[in-house]
Amino acid sequence: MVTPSEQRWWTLPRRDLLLLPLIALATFAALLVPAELFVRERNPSALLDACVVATPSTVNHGKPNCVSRTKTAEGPWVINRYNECGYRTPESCGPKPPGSLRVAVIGSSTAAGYLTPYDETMAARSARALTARCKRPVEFQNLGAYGNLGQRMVVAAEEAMPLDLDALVIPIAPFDFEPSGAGAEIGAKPEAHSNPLRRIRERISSSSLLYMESYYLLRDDASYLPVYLGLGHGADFMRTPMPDGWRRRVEEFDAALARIAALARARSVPVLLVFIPQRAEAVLATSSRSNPEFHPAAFPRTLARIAQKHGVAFVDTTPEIPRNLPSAEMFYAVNSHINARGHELVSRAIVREMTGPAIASFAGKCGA
Amino acid sequence: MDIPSTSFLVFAAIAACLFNLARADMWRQAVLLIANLLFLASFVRHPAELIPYVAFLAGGFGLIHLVRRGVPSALYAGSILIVLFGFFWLKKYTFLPAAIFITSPYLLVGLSYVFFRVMHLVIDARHPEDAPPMGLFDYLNFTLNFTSLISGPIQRYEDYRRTAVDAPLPLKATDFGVALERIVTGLFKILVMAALISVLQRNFAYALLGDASWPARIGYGMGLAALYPVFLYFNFSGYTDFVIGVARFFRIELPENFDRPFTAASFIDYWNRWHMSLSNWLKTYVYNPLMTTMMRRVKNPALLPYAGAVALFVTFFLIGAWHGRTTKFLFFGLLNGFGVAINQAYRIVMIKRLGRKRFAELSGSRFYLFAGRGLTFAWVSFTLLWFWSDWPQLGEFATAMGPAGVLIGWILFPAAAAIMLSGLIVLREGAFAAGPAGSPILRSRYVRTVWLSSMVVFILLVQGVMNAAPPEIVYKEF
Repeated sequence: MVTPSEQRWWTLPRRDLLLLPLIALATFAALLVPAELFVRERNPSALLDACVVATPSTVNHGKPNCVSRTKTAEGPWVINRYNECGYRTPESCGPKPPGSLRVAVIGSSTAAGYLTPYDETMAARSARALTARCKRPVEFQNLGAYGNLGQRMVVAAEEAMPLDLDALVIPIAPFDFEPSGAGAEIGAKPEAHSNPLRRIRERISSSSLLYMESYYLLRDDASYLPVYLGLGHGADFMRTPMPDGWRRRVEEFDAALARIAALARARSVPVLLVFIPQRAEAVLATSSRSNPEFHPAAFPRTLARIAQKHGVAFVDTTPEIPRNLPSAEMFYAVNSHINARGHELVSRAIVREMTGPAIASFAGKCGA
Repeated sequence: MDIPSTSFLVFAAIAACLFNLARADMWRQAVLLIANLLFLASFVRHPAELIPYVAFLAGGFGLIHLVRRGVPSALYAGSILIVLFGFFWLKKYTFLPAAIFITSPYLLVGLSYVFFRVMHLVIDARHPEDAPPMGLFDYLNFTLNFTSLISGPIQRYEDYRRTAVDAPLPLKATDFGVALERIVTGLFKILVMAALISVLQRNFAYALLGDASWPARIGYGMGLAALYPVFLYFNFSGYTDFVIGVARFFRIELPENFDRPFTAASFIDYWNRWHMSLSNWLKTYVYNPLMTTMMRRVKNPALLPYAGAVALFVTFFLIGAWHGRTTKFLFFGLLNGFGVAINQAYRIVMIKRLGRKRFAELSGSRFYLFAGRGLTFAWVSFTLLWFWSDWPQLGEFATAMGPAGVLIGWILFPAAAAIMLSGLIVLREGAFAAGPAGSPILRSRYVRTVWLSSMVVFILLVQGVMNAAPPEIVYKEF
């Protein structure tokens, strides 16, 4: 005979309907909270560069003579020292020392060498290599800072011109074109939301455990590539024809480069546009992996045309990447910026171009 | 649609919700049929790829109804042979001439399991008075049941019908919890245990072929041989747990496939605990008829017990050979057949010498069980070498270990396995003895909830840190 209690759907003591879910939640908390704390302790993260002043209207750069520390959970601690002009450079921004050559770097976080120890950035490496090649001091004044694209890049170029430059280098990556990409995480602290659900979501998305989980997942190209290509607009710069959003961004860059080129021409400063591929682009270009919808050569080709139009020298650093190099060796797997190895590969291309016929005036001064 | 996968879970959840939306039998069977057909369709890119599959099913249905109407013995035997040939032909068994095979791509997913279902229906149709009724809906839902299509378990129609049609199981909160526990346990076994063991086994293979010292290479070789059965257990029993849990939401009870196989102290006992639905099917439809035939034919009563050994050899040879179409699987089948046949012959000899009672006492003694487990596991690991590896690769491993290393490894292996397995059994018994008599703490729903939640966290963590997809369900290939 079926008793009334058996007819009920739950057939459990009433208290268990509350108790069992609570036990499950408590177990999740008991395992995940210590794991989160452990990961935070082992892989701390400090993405905010306290020295960089984010201004809505003018160019972003560091506070004069400021020192800060930054770190991504997947990378080393990095000390950022800014000179008296707020540039990430050990040399003074004062009058150029006699007999030396001076190069300015403008651009976004990639140009600034964000999350990379200064000595290992493309600017520092290129300065050392060119000093050796030119047999005279070559210094790089690094005006790069997150978000310096479009009009800000033009302002940075205007600021750099009085420095008595021998060359201007503009490292650029597709990542820098994304409004939410290049250093959105580096900027000012996000506003606190009053919506508790949104706050919980932000807390979860800022979890170190989640970050490291993503890191272990995304460091492998086989896992990373489909995830990135499936993200949508982020990878659209590799499509042909380029979708409207990306086309507009490229047009803005085109206009900005035209003004920079004009400024540089007026002072006879040669300009080198350095293209650094996005991680997925690098994977597609240097491995046997492919996707018929995405063309890794499309974006640098567009930039090369723009550079040529404005009489600016251009170098695509993709060929510097050894074939089948696991991309996580030159990019931060989750953060996506290039790491020290990536900077090394880029600096090779910079040095080669600056001592070659593409920038003959600099090569002439260098005596290479 | 892979099993297990997020898309499968979402698909099954939607289907289960629709299935349980109404109590009407017609509604539930219709939802199940649509789910089964959609699941099957998820594997094809073009409808034409379904034609051989549909033809096999339609042919099977026609033969079942033909035999049910009553046919002469020759036609009955012919029907069985047609199903058998259809299966071998579609699976492209190498003993058939290649010229007769279909060259265009077609669906094969789960065909082996569909074959077992169709074959048993054709065989049982000889006695329609004992067979439950079966319409086209029932036939399709039984043969194509999406929860067990990919890799079983193999269920007989009467068992399927009992819960799926005649008396669907209740689905109360406790059943819901138990089914969910089964699904999570399955996922934990596949995505955590099997995935980690697979990585470990691969590392052992690299280390064995690397520049490790000779004693270390013996250790790696032993580890390599021992890890695969454990991996396969977690992979396949995890799949079984998962689909049993999913089927429960459709109020269907699928048969169990595993009963702690590594506690077996003899090879025959091992096969009573490993892939039980397959071995039970073959015992019913191969071993029993073969034994009956031999009992009729063998005139000398002293030879009758040995006839059992021969029937076991044939049955378990077929189990091994079913796994693949190449010679290495025939060898795997031979090893399995020899294993059970020698085990049976040993039993006969021992019973003759000691008598049934003393042999039962001996085989129940602690030391006998301890040694028996080690030897059984060693033989299982040995036979499985031809399951996951091949002759050239085994040659490389043997060369790396050296003849003396291989010999030492196989001498040490049973002893090491016996110690490990007995230790695990003692630990398990100890863990389940904790708590009041009759209701151990580990069986408490509160403790089980903690364990279930922990498994979910482990699955997420391990899947997050693995930089490769988890290994596929091995039995999906068969």
